Amino acid sequence: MPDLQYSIFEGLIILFGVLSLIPVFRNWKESKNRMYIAIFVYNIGVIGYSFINVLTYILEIDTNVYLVGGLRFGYILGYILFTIQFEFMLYLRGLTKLYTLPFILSFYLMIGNILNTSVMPFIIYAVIVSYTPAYFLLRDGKKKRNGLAFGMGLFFLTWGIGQIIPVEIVMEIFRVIAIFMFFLGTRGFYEKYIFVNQEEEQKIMGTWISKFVVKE
Amino acid sequence: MVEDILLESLRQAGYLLSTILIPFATLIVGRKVLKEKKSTGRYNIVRLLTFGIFLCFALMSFLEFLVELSLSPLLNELFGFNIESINLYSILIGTMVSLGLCLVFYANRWEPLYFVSFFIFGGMVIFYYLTGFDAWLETYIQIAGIISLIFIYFTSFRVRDNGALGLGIFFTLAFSTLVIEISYVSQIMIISYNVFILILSLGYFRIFKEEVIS
Repeated sequence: MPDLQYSIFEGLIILFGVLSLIPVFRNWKESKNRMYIAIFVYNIGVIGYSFINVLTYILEIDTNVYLVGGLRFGYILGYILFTIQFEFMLYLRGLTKLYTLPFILSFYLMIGNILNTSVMPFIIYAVIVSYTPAYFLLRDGKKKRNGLAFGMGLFFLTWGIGQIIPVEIVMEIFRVIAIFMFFLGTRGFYEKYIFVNQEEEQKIMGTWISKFVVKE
Repeated sequence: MVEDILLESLRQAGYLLSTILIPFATLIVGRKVLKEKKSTGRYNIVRLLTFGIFLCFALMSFLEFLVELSLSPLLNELFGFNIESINLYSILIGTMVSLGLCLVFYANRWEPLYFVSFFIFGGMVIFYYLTGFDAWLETYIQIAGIISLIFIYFTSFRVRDNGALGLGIFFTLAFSTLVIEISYVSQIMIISYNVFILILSLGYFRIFKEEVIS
């Protein structure tokens, strides 16, 4: 029964992920900005991760099973996602020279997991690759009033918080919230309701109130 | 008996030459790096990498000489004299081949690969201190050494760079001493690469009259 419950969560992640892909693709077609391609690829990575998770539930594969030494199947999936996440962060900051770092780091950590059963390196890596892009995206998104960037920042932040809570159901809920926040970002929610232009708002309010005053 | 004395003399001459000439060549290259920095206001990365390789080689030769003198058992232990495990010798050789790879990637402007050799080697050293695992070190040094040598030749002919070609010849001579098991040939090779490094660092090695890039 818990498998069905998790499959529903993963299904929601896939649904919001796919729904987010459409506006991102449309934006890319309009502007030809390569950043949208990066977001698109990252989003596909997230959907792929959830899809594999659903498959593991259907095929009843235990992701907590140790494959070699202390390396679990779930860790491999996690490292793949972190590599994409880290790569995305480097792309955002324009650090071309460091593009090979995520692959090598993930590889060493995976080998480390074979030799050592400690979960700490995995958690530290998850925190670094989740919170760092979250900080940059939230900061830049807020400064430039870019809802997509802000949404991605919230996504990384919520996803990161979920990763460090070792209770699977809580982790899943956080992941669903994260993808939903990203989905809102792609739909222009934050521009509309959070980054409201104060001056414009005052002007509208002023006109609105003055209309009432005139009427009275 | 006479043969032994001759071989020992060649060996001592080789060590002594390495201890004197390689640091001397490093100083010349270092001076060139600083001179260029003064005139242009920025470091020439190719020269800086070459200086790094020379510095590692000089340090290795100097430590090798000290180890030969058996001054301290601790130094002998730290130096190690092999590339199978992490020790001073393998760290210096590993840094050299990593710098060689970096030089190749930089010369070819393969930007995403600039630091890949440092990530791999640095990761290997950190990994060793955390887990004690160093089984891939020898393979890395051999593969990276061969790749950097091939690409240094390839790059030197492509960009017609005397420095890169000189470095390629120098490393071919240096690495062949590790492979050749005939003592006389090996000792003569050591003496010859010492002489060659002096010619190279003084700037007399000019196969290509016109270089594509300096």
